[in-house]
Amino acid sequence: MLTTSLPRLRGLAATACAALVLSACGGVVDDEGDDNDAAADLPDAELVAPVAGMTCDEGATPTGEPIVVGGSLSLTGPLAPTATLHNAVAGLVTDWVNDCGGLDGRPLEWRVLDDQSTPGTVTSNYERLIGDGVDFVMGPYGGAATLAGAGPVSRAGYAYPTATNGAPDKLIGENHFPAWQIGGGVDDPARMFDAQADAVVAALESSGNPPSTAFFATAKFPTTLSYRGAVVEALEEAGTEITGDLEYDLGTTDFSSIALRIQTADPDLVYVGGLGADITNLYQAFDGIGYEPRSIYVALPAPPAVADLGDKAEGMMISSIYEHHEPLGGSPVAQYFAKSYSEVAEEEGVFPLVETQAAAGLAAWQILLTGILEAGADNAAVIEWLNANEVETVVGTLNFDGYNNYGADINRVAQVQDGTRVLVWPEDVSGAEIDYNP
Amino acid sequence: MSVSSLALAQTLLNGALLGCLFGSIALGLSVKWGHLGVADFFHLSLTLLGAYLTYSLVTEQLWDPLLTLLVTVPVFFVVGVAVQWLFLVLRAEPFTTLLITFALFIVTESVASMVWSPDLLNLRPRLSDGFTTSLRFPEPLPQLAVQPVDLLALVCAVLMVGVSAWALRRTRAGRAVQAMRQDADIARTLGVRVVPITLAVSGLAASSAAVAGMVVSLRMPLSPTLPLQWIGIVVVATMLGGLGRPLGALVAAVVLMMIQNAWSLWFPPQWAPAVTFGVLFLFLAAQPVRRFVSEATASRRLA
Amino acid sequence: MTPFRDLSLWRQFGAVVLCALLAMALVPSFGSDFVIAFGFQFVTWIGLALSWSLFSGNSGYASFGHGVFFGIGVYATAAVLRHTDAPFAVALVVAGLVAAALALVVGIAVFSSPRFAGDLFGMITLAMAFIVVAVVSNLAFLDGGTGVFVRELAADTWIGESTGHQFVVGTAIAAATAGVAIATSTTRWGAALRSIRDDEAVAESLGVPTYRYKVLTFAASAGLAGLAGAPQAVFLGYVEVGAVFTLNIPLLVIMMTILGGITRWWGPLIGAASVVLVREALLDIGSPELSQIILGLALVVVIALMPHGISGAIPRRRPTATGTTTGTTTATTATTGGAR
Repeated sequence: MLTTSLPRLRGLAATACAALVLSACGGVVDDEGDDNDAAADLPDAELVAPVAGMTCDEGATPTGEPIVVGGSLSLTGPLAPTATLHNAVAGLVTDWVNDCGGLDGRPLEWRVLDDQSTPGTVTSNYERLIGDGVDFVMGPYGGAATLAGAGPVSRAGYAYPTATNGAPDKLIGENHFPAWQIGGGVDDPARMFDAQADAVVAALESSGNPPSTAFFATAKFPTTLSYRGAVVEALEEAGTEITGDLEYDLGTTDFSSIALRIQTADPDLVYVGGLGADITNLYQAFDGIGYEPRSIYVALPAPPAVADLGDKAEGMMISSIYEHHEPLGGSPVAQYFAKSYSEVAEEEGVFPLVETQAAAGLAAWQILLTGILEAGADNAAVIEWLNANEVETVVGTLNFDGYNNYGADINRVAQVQDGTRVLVWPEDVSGAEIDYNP
Repeated sequence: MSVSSLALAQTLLNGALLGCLFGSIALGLSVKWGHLGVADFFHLSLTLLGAYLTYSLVTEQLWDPLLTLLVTVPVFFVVGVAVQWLFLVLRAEPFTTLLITFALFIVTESVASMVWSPDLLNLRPRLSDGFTTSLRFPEPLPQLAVQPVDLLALVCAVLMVGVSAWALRRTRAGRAVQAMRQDADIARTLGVRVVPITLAVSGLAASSAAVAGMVVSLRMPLSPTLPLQWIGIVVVATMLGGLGRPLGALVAAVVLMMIQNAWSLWFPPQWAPAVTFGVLFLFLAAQPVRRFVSEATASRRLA
Repeated sequence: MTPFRDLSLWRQFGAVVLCALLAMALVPSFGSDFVIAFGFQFVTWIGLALSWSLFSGNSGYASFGHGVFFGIGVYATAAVLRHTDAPFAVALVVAGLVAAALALVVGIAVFSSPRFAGDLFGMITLAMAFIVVAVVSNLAFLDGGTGVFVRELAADTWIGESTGHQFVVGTAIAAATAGVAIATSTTRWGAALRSIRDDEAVAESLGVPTYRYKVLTFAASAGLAGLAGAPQAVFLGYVEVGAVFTLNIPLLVIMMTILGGITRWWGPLIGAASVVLVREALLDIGSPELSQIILGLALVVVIALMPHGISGAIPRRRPTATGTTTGTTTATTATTGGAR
């Protein structure tokens, strides 16, 4: 094959080189209006107390023994991009509380240990933090890490708030307070992902044009596989024909075969159970064969990966619990968070706009802070109070009544419309109607 | 051509072109491992650094990606020379060099994370359409498409690997390198200046990482842990091609990626890595490679 | 050579057993929860480094597959606990046997042909890693991709009761590995392996049954790594492919062993201990990236100052006592440096 097509390839190569050289001066688009500047449109925001029931005493210096919150985060290694974001949120919240005069007048302190993306180190990190006498802990990022930390944290009787724990069908205990309530409103422990699947199907049906065919491509990763299983069932029940369902290895870079299979099936809906940069690589493969999917749903894409797609991401649907707009984004807390997060994130070099991860990070802190404010700096009291009450957070009102402490169903669907991400389902939090007509 | 055979041709083509990129990364590894006895994992880090430098020069200085080579290639040459000089000063044994290159591998990952953040960086949206619009094949195969970046990968791979293979076989310096591999002491008595040649080879290998890094930055989103995704294919291609044989490594990388893509077209893609490396085992068991390998072992035995 | 009448051999055995017993008695009863959890990881890394060195350090065949054998131990344990009512002891034995069996099969195939000598062996073990990962992540019996919850499976067993019990098992495995390492350092078995590292052709011509030695030692090394994986499964509580089979494990193990040095049996022990301790000490210096950079640069400096590793830099007290084996080892490693 190589020998027969060599002359032709040589011709192509020559043209390509010529094209590249000709475009030498214009090879790069000076795109100043890129994602970095998206955050500049955010309005200035007033300093307000981060949680309900707390008064912000601006200018007052907190005094006395600090309340130390410890956590383990994967600041290096493969999980670092998202864990760095959660570390930025933790630092921001600490400064925020202290700018407001502290927690009951006491300063808040954040202590983080890097677990290098290794679950075994998560366990010893929490043992170390608890042994060093931190007052409270904050959960790590990632399902495996969360469960590795649950052992020591539960044994020591600490409250265990988590931001985006993706391994929900196993009980951590009454001390587990998840911000992203993946299993919210579901009674059967075996069907913890149904809430998420129902949100997807309801969102699609609200358009009036639900897909008649769907093609699934899912990364070999616990959370995405569990999602996929529930969504396949829910869509089939809703009358959608599944024309393809395949899995790919985590870390796949060449999606050309998968793109070709999708092109051959040409479904109404492409469901990508992908995370990180999968979507970037998949679209590169689509570009290569000149195919444009009729509609696409992505489970857990990295925010910069979606932003970098530009116009191609228009209409893309994404699993979400928060996008920054009314009504959720209208509160003074959300406004202040969005503004200060964009500044902190830029310093850390992570994506500057608040979406699911950053919002869940803040919500986890709001859960903990509310518990401390209401019940005092004592873990047992905080656990008892949180189990009996509701908490106002940036992602909505949360309670911890159900199995594994999942209470409210806050699974939502976002869509990229006119270049921005907006929630399109359910109606009480949506900022726009779904635009779906495959 | 029917639809499915067209699809096969397309995916094989894509696999081959991505294989070219991995082949260009394997080039430096193969030469250093085979001829200098350094299993250089730091070479993968250099490739990543090259990609990040390209990214910065393009996004901040608005340079053309190809022009960045004017800076990165000489800088990396110096780095390659410096690392090899360190090994010479230490009189490092193979195990020692392995440890040092691992250590530098860890250091680079952290430096990249510090300087460029652990988040994904993607150069693609900043590129003009000339880089991103796929090109159609001329008649009679207008259905087949190819991306300009992939063509660039092909050109870079063919140029670099071709020149290295030619230089090793045909030039005086290249033959000196071969002689050093056989026996450094005899080479020295025959008038080969071992130290300068060793340093130069290491510098050139590092320069090739700058070129490969440029292609990487155009081809895929960057993150500090990216080299861990290449290790499998690059190391296996290097060894399968025969250490010190850049052309062998390139062919091996191309073939491995083509197998992977062909499998993924019809069968469950999640089994692709197992199949690719399983085929490798079968291939190794087969006779054709025997000559390759026995040559390699024979030459090492002579040492 | 009469190793079993060698006093120093027994003295070293005794020291290892004593240290292990002391650790097993003292750490779980007096150590804080952190000390126990950290201690468990500490002994696990020591076991891994010692078992890698057992084959790769002695024979010179660098294996990238050690993380796979360890991971197979983890998953075999999870599978036994999930699908049967067997006690942990059975899972432990299965973990070791499965890992050893895989190595045995690979070893029998790979070592049968001289064409896989040296570097190609490294490639085979790396390729094997990718195949095993694909198999584990695609077979629902083992994992299937969604991970396996071990904590609840082991909750009512002795091992699952406390981290202290996991520490005791981990320490026993590390001590057993050290015992095997000591045995290799002084017996004919070890000497034969090192003769392979020095020059396999010469060893063969001298009548050393290199094939049998390589296959069996590779299997033993893998089996010990598999054993180390068994308590790890319980310790983690939840195992998933991405975290268990990360390439960092074989790379770190190789690094620890080379740092410690392969010319003495306890080199890998020192190497693993130093890396784990330094890593922990650097954890809260404020910048995670900086601590990784410091660790990396420290490795470069140490190996620059001590090219034969930490253990190689410490002078031998009695150079002639076991001179037939250890003496030749140092001499030959010094000369083989440039030959590869």
